[in-house]
Amino acid sequence: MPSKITLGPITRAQNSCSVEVTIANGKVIDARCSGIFFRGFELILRDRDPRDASYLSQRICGICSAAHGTAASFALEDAAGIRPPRNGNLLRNLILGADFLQDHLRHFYLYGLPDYVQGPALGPFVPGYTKGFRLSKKNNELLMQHYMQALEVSRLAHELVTLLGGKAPYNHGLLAGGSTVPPAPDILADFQSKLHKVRDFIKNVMIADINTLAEAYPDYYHIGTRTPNFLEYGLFPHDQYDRDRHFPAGVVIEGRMQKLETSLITEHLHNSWYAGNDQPQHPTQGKTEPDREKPGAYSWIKAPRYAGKVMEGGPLGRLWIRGDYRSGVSVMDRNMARVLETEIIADLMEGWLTELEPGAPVFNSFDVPREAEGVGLTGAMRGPLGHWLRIEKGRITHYQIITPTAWNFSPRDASGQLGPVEEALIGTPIEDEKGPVEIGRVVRSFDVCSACATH
Amino acid sequence: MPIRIGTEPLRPGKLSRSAPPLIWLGTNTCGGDAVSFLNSLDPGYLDLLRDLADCRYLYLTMTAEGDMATRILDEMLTTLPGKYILVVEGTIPTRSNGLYSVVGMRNGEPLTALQAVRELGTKARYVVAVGTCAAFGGPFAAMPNPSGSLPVQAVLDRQVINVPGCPVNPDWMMGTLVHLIRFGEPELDSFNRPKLFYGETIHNLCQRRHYFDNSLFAKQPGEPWCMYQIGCKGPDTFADCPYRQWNGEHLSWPVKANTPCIGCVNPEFPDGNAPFFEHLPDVRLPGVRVTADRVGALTAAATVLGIGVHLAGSILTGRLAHAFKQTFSGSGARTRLLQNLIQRFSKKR
Amino acid sequence: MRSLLPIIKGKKPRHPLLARLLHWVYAPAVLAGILSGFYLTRPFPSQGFSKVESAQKTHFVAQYLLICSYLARIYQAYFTKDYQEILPGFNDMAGLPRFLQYELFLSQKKPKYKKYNPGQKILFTGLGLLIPLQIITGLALYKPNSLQKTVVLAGGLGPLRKWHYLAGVAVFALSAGHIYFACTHDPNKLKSIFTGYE
Repeated sequence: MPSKITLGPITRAQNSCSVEVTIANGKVIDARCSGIFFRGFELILRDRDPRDASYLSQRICGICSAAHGTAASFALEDAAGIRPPRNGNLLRNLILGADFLQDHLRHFYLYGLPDYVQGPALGPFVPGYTKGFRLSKKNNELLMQHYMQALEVSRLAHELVTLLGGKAPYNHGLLAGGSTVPPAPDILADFQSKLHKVRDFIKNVMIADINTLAEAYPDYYHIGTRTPNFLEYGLFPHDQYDRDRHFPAGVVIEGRMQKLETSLITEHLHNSWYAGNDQPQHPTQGKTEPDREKPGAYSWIKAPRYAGKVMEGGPLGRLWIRGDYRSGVSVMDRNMARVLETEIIADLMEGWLTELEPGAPVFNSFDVPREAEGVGLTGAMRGPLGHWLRIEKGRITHYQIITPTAWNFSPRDASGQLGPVEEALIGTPIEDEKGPVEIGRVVRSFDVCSACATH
Repeated sequence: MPIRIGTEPLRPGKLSRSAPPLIWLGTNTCGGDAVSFLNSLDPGYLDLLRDLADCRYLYLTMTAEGDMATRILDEMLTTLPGKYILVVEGTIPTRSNGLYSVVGMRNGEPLTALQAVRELGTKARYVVAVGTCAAFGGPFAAMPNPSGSLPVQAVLDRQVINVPGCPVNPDWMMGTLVHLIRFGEPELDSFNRPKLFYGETIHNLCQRRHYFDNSLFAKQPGEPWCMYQIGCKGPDTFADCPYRQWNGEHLSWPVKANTPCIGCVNPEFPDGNAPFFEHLPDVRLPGVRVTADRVGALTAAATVLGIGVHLAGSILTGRLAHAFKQTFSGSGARTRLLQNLIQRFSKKR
Repeated sequence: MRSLLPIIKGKKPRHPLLARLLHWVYAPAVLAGILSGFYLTRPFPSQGFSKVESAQKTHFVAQYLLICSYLARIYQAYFTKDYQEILPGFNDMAGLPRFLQYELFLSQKKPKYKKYNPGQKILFTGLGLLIPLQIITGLALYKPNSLQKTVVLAGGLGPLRKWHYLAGVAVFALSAGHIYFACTHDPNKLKSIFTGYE
């Protein structure tokens, strides 16, 4: 007899989300992922000065704010037809890179680790699940120590953002036209010294920790699996002309690489709490009219699709497209790729620091166009992030945002195709229905960001 | 690597016996205030867990999930009423009976943020609204407020301590918590903010104040001068950012990063502070939105035009000449000169 | 010497001495407030001040002069009951179309008025209402700490600043209109604000 569990709130997911699973014979046979709150940024951004978007849209998410700032800056630069100076691009890469380090560290240790490690008898580590933990006592204690260290190191990564952006989260250094803190030697030295500390921790502790986890939970290479369908917009422009990026854009469909064609992106509203027809729309035409009473719908998240296909985004997709990691698509592969990506980004940042030119300009001033359209595409911590912008009479008249977690945590689309997390959950073995620790492991391997997903 | 902590197993500290239970509830939020709070250095997050509070519920980092988490809230209401500190992060949506923000399930039904905050807030020892959204509405209650969001104070009939900021500076929140736990309620201003952190305007504390006084202004972001002309809201904003700076290590703040303050702690943020790069906010009347500058320019133009047209009319109809002729009917030399001039001008016409 | 004649004759002045004195305190205060205020909104060198500090000093001195002279003028209006001459009444409103017809050059017949025409009354009353708004918003911006209750009412310093600016723009427009009409309509009456007599 199948039984249903509603796991809500799913905590440690940047505000909360909810999952409803149906279990039969100790396995998940159906899943529904649900975004459980709505704020309406696409409506709030309307009628505002386009320059405000890079600051205001950061408020979508408290942990990956720099990604929204970057996408909004790209969108306005695209609309205004301008480029940042060379230093501006490097500084923005450094700010976003530092926020990546912060985010991946916090996700791995603060959000993800409690699924695998038993915490001390102290709030907020208790209450928690009591079964399904397999680390040896020694390793369990070691990883908890690293959890505590990671609190410091992730803070340090946010201090890096602060050095170049004034504060974190919601830094002020990301804006159309470039960045704002000239690379003076004292700031660079401070930045470099802190970056070294963070990088040391990633290389010496974080990498070892993911291997410890992978050894103790090898079956998670076979749980949460999907066909390799990935989408990425590219991350970190090489230079101010943005001809190519350090993590290239691309699409993987059933394991095969394709060129990205952004016109094939559509969003379905069929199962989402939004009014409107069921015809999927490209984000330049997309609408956001909340309707919580819509019958049949079960999530605040729209269902984005690429050429009608369900796509996954995240570090695993980026490394897959880059060619650095192609051994599988599973819970542990996603976690592994996230840690490896953290290391790669820390190394790249070292290089950007040396490329900065003290004394050269950091910001190009420009006039906000009266009528224009723009699109800002970037990689974010959890996958591809796009901002689509239209300006009329100097103000924003249309703003659509498709976040990584909208791709990953999407509900079913009009044709009934399951979202990536829903797909990945099916087949997950559940040992104890009273303590389904496995569900959280699958969901969090996608690094679900509830705040972004519903925006 | 010089990491101070993490070598000792985490267990409750000596001071923790008197520590009050703490509930940190996330409602309609981006999670930015909790993330910012993690950036607190001394005391840090671990000090809070060890010594300061009995952290029962913290949506961002807690191990419990699902009904296990919601049960903690229910237990608080029955076993510890009047004892716990409730921290609310995010707005409270009211549209569709509050279903625009759900914090968990209760008996198979969604538990809305509205319901949870009302229940928990009524029985809490202190209620703290962290972040501008919880304190004043903030970005999520900004026009057109799609979720019908309200600040915490608007749904609770009791004292709420507002600790605004977008996000909150880790010190402001940690400081408020420490104050509540160790010294009781801090002194509050008329907006119910602790005076300790929101007692003076950014403008009055600003390192670049002398640039303002001497009219040395930045023309674009990235210049090391006063940001007033590119929309700095420092004069309108009560916060100690220039002194305290951000984050745990107090390294920088927006003006130090050569960008304007956008007034993110303000009750009017963001509508009353936007456009961020303009000095004055938009003027909104039903159906119309204009910039304040345009109102000024239009009024000036209308005034000049009105006076000009009337003056031209007065000259052409001879009213002006008539008025002056009547006045200067005396016999002084200067008056005569004026009379002549007026007569000559009138004749010409 | 001619200007002393009416006094010797015992004629009642058009503007009593106190009203004239106060006028010449608040008139420059309002003008200085407008000029320095616009500089403070958009501090460009072309606007007549070399630096914010001097514009602020001007604005603050003007503020005190305006507050004192305004309060004194209200006091005088209350005791001499001359507000009856200033506030527009029913008759003024009824006579407004005729007045406007003349001022818009649609009619040649100049209507006669006892002291002030309806336009003047509306203008003076408008200024009389705007000035306290400016004083309240201005003081709250000047001392936002001690006057925080006012800031709460306005919903924050940002909206307060906006209202102060908009009211300032209105004061500018009304003052400009007043100066224009005063200078062009009847030089005799203009004289009376200096000497008291027409």
